[in-house]
This record gives sequence, C-alpha cells and structure tokens, in this order.
Amino acid sequence: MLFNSIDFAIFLPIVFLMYWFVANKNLKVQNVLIVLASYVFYGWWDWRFLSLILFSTLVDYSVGQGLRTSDDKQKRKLLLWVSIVVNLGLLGFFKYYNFFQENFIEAFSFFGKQIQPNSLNIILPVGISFYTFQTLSYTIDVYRKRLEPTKDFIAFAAFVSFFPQLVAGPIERATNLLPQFYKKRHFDYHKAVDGVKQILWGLFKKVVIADNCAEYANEIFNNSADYSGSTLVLGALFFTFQIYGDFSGYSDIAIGTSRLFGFNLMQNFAFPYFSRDIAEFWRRWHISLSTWFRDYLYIPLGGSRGGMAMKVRNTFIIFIVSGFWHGANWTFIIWGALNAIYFLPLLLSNKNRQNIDIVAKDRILPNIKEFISMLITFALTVLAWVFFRADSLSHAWSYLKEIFSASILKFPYFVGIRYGLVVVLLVVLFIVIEWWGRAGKYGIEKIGLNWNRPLRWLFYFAIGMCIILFAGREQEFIYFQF
Amino acid sequence: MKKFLIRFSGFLSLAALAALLCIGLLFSVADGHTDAHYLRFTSPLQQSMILGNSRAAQGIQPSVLKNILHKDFYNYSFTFNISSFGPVYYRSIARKLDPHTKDGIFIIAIDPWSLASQTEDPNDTANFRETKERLYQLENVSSKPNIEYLATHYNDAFYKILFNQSILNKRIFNAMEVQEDGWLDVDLKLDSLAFEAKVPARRDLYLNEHLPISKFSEARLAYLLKTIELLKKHGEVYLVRVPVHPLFMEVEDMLMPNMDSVIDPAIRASDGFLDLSPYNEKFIFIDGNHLYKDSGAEVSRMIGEWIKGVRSH
Repeated sequence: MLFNSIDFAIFLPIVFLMYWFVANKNLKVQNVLIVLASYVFYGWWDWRFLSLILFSTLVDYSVGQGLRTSDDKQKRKLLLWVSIVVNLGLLGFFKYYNFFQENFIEAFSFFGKQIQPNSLNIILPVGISFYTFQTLSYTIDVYRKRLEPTKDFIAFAAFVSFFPQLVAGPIERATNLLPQFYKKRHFDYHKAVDGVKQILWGLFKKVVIADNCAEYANEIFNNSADYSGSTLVLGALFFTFQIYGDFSGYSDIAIGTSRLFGFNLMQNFAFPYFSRDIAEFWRRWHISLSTWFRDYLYIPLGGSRGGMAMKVRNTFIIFIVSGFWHGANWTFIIWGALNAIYFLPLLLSNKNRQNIDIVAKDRILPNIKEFISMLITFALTVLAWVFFRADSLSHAWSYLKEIFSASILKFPYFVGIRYGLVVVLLVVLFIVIEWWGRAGKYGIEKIGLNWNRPLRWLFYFAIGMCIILFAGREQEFIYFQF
Repeated sequence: MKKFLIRFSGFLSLAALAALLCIGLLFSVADGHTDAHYLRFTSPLQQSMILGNSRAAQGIQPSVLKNILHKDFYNYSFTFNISSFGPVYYRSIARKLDPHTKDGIFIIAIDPWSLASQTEDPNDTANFRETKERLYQLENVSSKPNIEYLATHYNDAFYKILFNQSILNKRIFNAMEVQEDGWLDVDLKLDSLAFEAKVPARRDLYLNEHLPISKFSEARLAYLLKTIELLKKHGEVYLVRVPVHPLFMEVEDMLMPNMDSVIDPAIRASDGFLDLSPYNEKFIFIDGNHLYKDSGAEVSRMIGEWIKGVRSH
C-alpha cells in the first residue's frame, strides 16, 4: 500500500479509530491490531511475502529467547550467526543473487571460461533491506546485552512489522522502538497534531516535489544522449530534489503516522542539502541507515580507534557497503566509493566533525563562507547522484562527460521545459520553506506556531491545495526498490 | 481525542470545500488542449463517426467530409494502444453511438496494427494492451465537463488544465488540439525535410520493438466484424486503409502481407473498402506514421468523394 494512495487514505483512519476507540483499553489488543494492520498493509502489495516477515520474526524471536537462557559464549555467538545468516541470506538471495551470478559469469568469461547463466526471475520483496536490518539490530543488541530480550511475541512481531516504517524506514533500533510496545499508549493531542502536520509536509515533498521532478529527471536521464551538458545538469538537479523529496517525504509520513499512534520514531533527515561539508551531509541524510552502519559495522571494525590507515579503510568499507545496500548494481557501489573519496580530506585533516549545529543558527541568512561551503557540498552531492540514477556505469560516465563538455554553455532545453519551469519554481518555494524551518525536525514543524489560528490554517490549506493541484504523475517511492 | 477529531474534521471539511471549488473551476475550463482524448468524451452522442487509431484521429478530418457528404461527422479515433479493435473499443463505440441513429455513416480505418495483438496468445482478449488503459472503464463518454474522466483518468497535475487552456495557450506552446468535431489537429509548420528525417527512427521502433511481438489476432477481426454489425443497424459502414509512409508500409507488409484477404469478411459485411495505400508516395507524413495536416485534408476529400460515389450508385 502506498502512502500517497486512496487505499491508504481509507486504511489509516480505520486503523486509527479502531486503535483509539476499540483497542485502547488493552495494550495487548493494541499491539495485536498493529500486527494485523501491518500485515494487511504489506500484504496489499503481495501477500506471499508476508511469510518472509513472519519467518524473520520467528527466527529472531527464537534467537532472542536462546540468548536469554544462555551464558555460554560459543552458543551465544552461534545464535547470533544464525540470525545474521538467515536475515542476510534472505536479503542476499532476493536482492543480490542475479548480480553476483552475472559478475561471476563475466569474471570467468574474462579468463576464457564460458558458463551457462542460470538466472532466476526473482521478485525483490518490498522493504526487505529495511526490516532485515531492523531485526538484526535486535539480535545484535541482545547479544551485546544492551537490550533485554523480549518475552512478548506480539510486541516483537509489531516491532518487526510496524507498518508506518516497514517498507522504507526509518530503520528503527530495537532499543528505541521495542520498549514503546511494552507501554500503554495514551492519546496526546499535541503529538497527534504534530503527526498530521508532518504527514502533510511529507505528502507535499513526495507528490509535489519528488513526483514532478521525477518526470523531468526521467526524461533527461532516459534520453541523455540527446541533450546538452547544461540540460544534463538540470536533469541531475531534478533527480537531486526527486530523491530527497521522495525519501524524506516517506520518512516524514512514516514518522507522522507513528505519532498518531503514540510512537516516536527517530529523525531520518535533517535538511541535508544545507550541509557545509560531506561529513555533515552524511550526519543529516538517511540518519537511521548511517548510524546503523556506524554502530553495527564501523565500530566493530575498529572505528576510529586505530591509526589513520584503519580509519580510512573502515570509512571506505561503510560507504561502499552502504552503496551496495541501495542496490545490486555497480553504479551504487561507485556512488558509495565516491562519497568516501569526498569524505577523505575531512577525515585526514580531522575536520569531519567541525559542522555539527544547523547552519546559520539563529540567523536569517548564512554568511558568505557558509554559503560557499553549502554550494560546494551540494554540487558534489549532485555529481554523485548521477551514478545513483544512471542505468549503468557507462551511462553515468557519458552523462558526466557531456556535463563537462563545451555544451554546458548551451541554453538548456528538454521536452516539457515549460512545465519544468513551474517545477523549478515549486522547488525554490520548497527550499525557502525548508530553510525557514531548518531548526525543526521537519520543514513546517515550527512555522506558524505563533500565528493566530486562521493564518496558520491558511498556511496548511495552501500546502494542501498545492498537493491537490500540483500532484505529479504518481511514481512509486524510490526506496521501495532497496 | 474529541478535540482532535472535531478540529481535524473541521479543517478537513474546509479544505475539501476549497479544493472542490478550485478543482471545479479548473474542470470547467478543460478543453481540447487538456490532453489528446478528453474533448472526445465531452461531445454529445454521435450519429456518424470516424473510427480507428491515431492515423485516423489525425488523418481524417470531419469538416472536409461534411462539405462533401453534408453530414456531421465525429472523429472518435484514439491511438494504437487504446483503440485497436477489441472488446474495449467496441464498448466505447457502443456508448458513444446515438441509439436513435437510422442513417449514419461510419468510416472505419483499418491497418495491420489494429488487427494485431502483442499478447502471447493473440486472442487473449482479457489481456489486450488496451485493457491496461483505464480510459475505457469510462462509463460516461458524453458530458461536459466530464468529471469522471478528469477525476480518474486524467493522468497529469491538475494545474496543467489551466496552463493548457486555449485562452492562455492558443498554439503558443502546444501544437496539438482536439477540435470540437473530435479531429486531432496537429498544427506543425510544413518542413518536409525535418518530417522525413524522423521516419527511419520511428520505422525502426515499429520494426524492432513492435513487429517481433505482434501477431494477427482472430479475436480482433471478430470484434471488427461485431463493430460493423452494430453500426450497420444504424447506417452505412465504410472501411478505409489510410496512407502511410512507404517505409512503414514495408513493416506492415511483414506483419500482414495479405491484409486484403484477411479482412475480406469485414469488407463483405461493410458497404465498401477503399485502400489508399497505393497513393502512399503522394502524401506528406509528419513522422512516417501520421499524415501532415494538408495531406490529411486531401485524404479526407478522397474518402468523401469515394463514399459519395458509392452512395450515388
């Protein structure tokens, strides 16, 4: 079920009313309702893959129970590996089988050995990369004794399948989300209003910004050979806002929906395009994944405790693995590696934590230095997105070659440019609002809090009207494929 | 909770009211620029129609036929993707046809593509390409504004209805406009060289992408016969093969080398068949597949004169 669909618009109020009016007396009933609603939500896409979620839930719950009763180090390690192998095995099979097979065949043919391909027509289960990482966080934290294993199977099943964030995150930590299922939730007016506002802003990002940008990004990327360097720059910019609007929009809707049910999810995006360097960008982009890799990969690898060589090695590993997590294609791996290269000068000069606070805090505008830093970081990010969006490495390469050719001086033109200009205006408006609200957890969190109600409602009306009038052609959320 | 529900419902009701008002205003200005189909679902039920795919939609001009045959024609042709002969187009034609018609004239444009299917089983009507188009779930094909179409089938941002609207957009940005008689008017400046340059690429698209997966469909032919049978109850039915660029003709001959004999039952069921493909070289095409406006007028004149001749015998 898509957040921006009529189905969800019907589903959400029904579940909401049942949750607060029918199931509100009993915590267990509330959790059962969440599990059922989550399975309906997921099964709406393809009910067959519910078995994967159930399987993953059963395995990790059992592993948790095993870890509770055992102090034997060997046994505990074995149980942890069972969880890792099962979860990553499922992910590897569904997501990476054909990629590895193709690359093995190519590698063998390079040495003159021809192998008959036996590729499988595998459907990638929506959200598998998200929920496998979420359940892994549980077993790893229980193994490390940072979390008490749960005895409550329903609460655990609700944690694994919690519908707002099941298919595209934020990837919650068991330490944050699971305990929330143990406590009775009480309706909180301010939390619910805040949730609705965040849903509204998420929808704006998705249907107004991302879907409209997608139309022109697709046109330009799919026909890149026909366009000048200047148009290709526009194409990359459209994609830059498409992916941000799409993914952070999803996160906003997920977080807002969770708040309606009394849950607090972690912030997943913190205005990343206002970052002053790449390190700051990665502290603000897809925070739940970056911190997951930091806690469960970078630190176990030694983190920054060793010498500089180890720091560099570990940095490259997490960026490349993060790229590979996004998709079984070399383009994602290069995208990850490129970001590691961007990161390197900051790491070597020990300046990777120099920009922690939001830019221009308590000021209206940034100073010149901040502005230039933001512009450079943004430009580097845009260039990296070309690899992320391109169909293949050769496509990305030819795209970048054209950008850095004399044709960048030509006046940009693409099919549908007239409406493209409308989209540019919408993006400018979006940037202004995000800049204005950058001190909050999402763009409009704090905007209008001091206004009188009619004015505040008018502001929300305007956003709602934009969603209705400017909704682009419906596109699936990009991160569903990851 | 109560406070939340009351305030939220209040907000939602006001927002819905404002949205309805705004969308209503937008729908009321939708016209032939809105998209390539909309206007055809806003005209009243019709007594004489031109049917077929995009070649007929662009190539056969009702106003030219009217001058010759003194009848109001309506071009109810769409595209190869959605108006090939089959259950979907048949239903839509039946909905658009004025049931009181007694002496209508119906011109059906036929080419091999409109009788072919890309499904594995070419007679698998449930999976014909047009069944994937929501267009033909349309119950209402004759109301203005057509709210059903705009609300559920219009596949673009609503603000574009205003931007495309004729007053703001009279041929400045968009060369395409569906006229009141259903004809798809593509108003391009005559540039034979530029037109000709597009032909090989378009031909290759058909040759390499459509031809290998297209097969003649008995079911489509059966629906053509059914369509003729329906229309015959309301008047005369004429079949025509609209000219196409010689390079496209080669591809069509590969798909169906013996089209005349294949459609023989349809020819016999109709009041006549005019094959204009021998005149392919005489006309100008904007992309090889579609006639240039002036050539379309000439083709329409030839069809009109031919029907006039048949009727006078």
